[in-house]
Amino acid sequence: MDVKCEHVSYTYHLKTPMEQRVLHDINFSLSQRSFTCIIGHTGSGKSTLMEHLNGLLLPTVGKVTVPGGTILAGVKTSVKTIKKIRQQVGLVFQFPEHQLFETTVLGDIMFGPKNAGKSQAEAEAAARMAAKIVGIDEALFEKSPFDLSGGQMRRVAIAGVLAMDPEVLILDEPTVGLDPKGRKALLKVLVALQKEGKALLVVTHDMDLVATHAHHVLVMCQGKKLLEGTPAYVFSQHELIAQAGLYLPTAAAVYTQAFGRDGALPLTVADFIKEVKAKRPLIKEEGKFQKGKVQEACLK
Amino acid sequence: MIEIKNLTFGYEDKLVFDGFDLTFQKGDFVALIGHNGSGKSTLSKLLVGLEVAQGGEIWIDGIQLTAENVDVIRKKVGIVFQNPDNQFVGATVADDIAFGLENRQVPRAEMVVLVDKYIKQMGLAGCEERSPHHLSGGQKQRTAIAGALAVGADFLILDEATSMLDPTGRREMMQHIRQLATDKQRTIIMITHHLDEVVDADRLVVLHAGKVLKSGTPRAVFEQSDALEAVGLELPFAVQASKQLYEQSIIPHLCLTNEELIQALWM
Ligand SMILES: Nc1ncnc2c1ncn2[C@@H]1O[C@H](COP(=O)(O)OP(=O)(O)OP(=O)(O)O)[C@@H](O)[C@H]1O
Ligand SMILES: Nc1ncnc2c1ncn2[C@@H]1O[C@H](COP(=O)(O)OP(=O)(O)OP(=O)(O)O)[C@@H](O)[C@H]1O
Ligand SMILES: [Mg+2]
Ligand SMILES: [Mg+2]
Repeated sequence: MDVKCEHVSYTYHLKTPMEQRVLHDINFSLSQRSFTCIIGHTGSGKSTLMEHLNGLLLPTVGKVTVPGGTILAGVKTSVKTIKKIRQQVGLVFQFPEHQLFETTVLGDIMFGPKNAGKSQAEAEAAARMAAKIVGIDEALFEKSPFDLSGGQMRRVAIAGVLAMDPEVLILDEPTVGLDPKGRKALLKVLVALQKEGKALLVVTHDMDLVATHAHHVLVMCQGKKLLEGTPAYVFSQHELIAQAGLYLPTAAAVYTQAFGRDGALPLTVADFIKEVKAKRPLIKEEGKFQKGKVQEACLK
Repeated sequence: MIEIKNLTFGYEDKLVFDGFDLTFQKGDFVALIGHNGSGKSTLSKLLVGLEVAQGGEIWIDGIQLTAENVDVIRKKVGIVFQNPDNQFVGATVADDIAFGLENRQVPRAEMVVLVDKYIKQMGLAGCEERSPHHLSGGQKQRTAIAGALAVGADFLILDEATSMLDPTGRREMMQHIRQLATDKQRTIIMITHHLDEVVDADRLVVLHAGKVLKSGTPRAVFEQSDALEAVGLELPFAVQASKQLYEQSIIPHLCLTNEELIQALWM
């Protein structure tokens, strides 16, 4: 197993008046070559959980095992172990601003590989490659990372983690702020990395992304793991999905509203077209559109 | 009404706008889309005087934006920034939402009622006394939106304000915005990359490299799907799906919204 959480609980500001318990007994594991999405309502604990996986937050209770080492609640983890973990588990924060700090864009992307002991030339080559992959124009290389548009900042933050080439990539809402072209390019990279053997963990509110890319889905609700499984299984759990503040992927939502909950739900545009075509004899008879046919069929 | 005439603006290194014109009609709900770096956030900062144009004019409700009257203009315009962290001034969520009201000298009793109303409406009950910096991403965005809605300004700019909300929260927010837009009293400018959110707007403006590439009703703009795809923009689900279904004569017409698509499937 590449990543494992056992009985992980976390409390912010422990033993102060601001104390707040936000994770409750979380258990999950994932292996190499996997694409896992974490979904859940606002404040359900997704970011908090992700920050446990590279040692940014230490569990109040429980055990976290990742490539690079093990973190156990109440036991001091050595600086060396934390450093090793951070090189193998790359985390892109929900707010890219929290991650950027160098004086230039290129310098920022180079920081990871340099910190891992790569030479200046190697680090620069890795950084240029990563920048190209996420679509950062060379014209931006010498700018301050803080003098960028929101989507450009997100790209720099992602490139910084790609350049490190970690075994496990955790991306906290990586598509927020990206334009459609940038989103598409990012997803292509993630799929390629997963095929190479990396483990990917993506926190997202984009149910269409989950439907089209995830192999495995973890649903968080009020600091607890509510549900876990394939996208098809998870999205078939209508009541739990609603309880978690979530929604069906667009294709499934439209299909359900049009035809009711019947059989396997289409999760993508292509599946949607296919399923609708399967219903076609009901919709269209002798070249004439017939009102109410499908509704009647669904009510039966 | 907001009129932008022959606007020129650049950061130190290069021009973002070079002779840019755009008008927002009073009461319109306008969606503004465009690629990363196209100038959307820069435009919204220029409208509230956070950046100062090197050339051209901005008129808001017949008043020209100048260094002297920037405070007057700012009271007319509520804005939610792309990164809510850049917005917070209060030590607690409640203080933060109250800040804009205090600034506009809203009487205390009224203020308390408004703050309470928007805390509840934005689902922030229980977070009142917490620091806005110690919230989850979506909670931060809800706080920023609550602050902007509470002041009830005539112009409201939302710069990717709902980008981190969960699907249910996003739906609720869109309903609020649609509701706000119905009485045509307020001008709403919503910047977003979510195309399913723009179909409800009165007008859709597509920015491309500091220029208006397309402007019109969402229906008219999405009909020119090839031009949009050429610049890397996508089409909403209903447009994509209905296009294919229409071409295979499964449904009788193209659809803009999911509701229309469902109707078409029932015909
Ligand atoms: N620094 C902090 N101090 C105290 N409480 C915090 C802190 N950061 C987050 N919280 C609280 O912990 C809970 C979980 O937050 P977390 O950021 O993990 O949620 P999330 O699932 O990532 O939500 P979102 O989708 O909105 O980003 C929330 O109730 C939040 O208010
Ligand atoms: N503070 C700044 N200093 C220098 N250049 C900047 C600054 N802020 C933005 N820019 C540049 O100005 C251009 C327009 O940026 P802007 O933030 O307006 O884009 P945007 O359309 O909002 O993009 P996004 O969708 O990524 O948020 C970009 O090329 C960006 O790099
Ligand atoms: Mg989060
Ligand atoms: Mg922007």
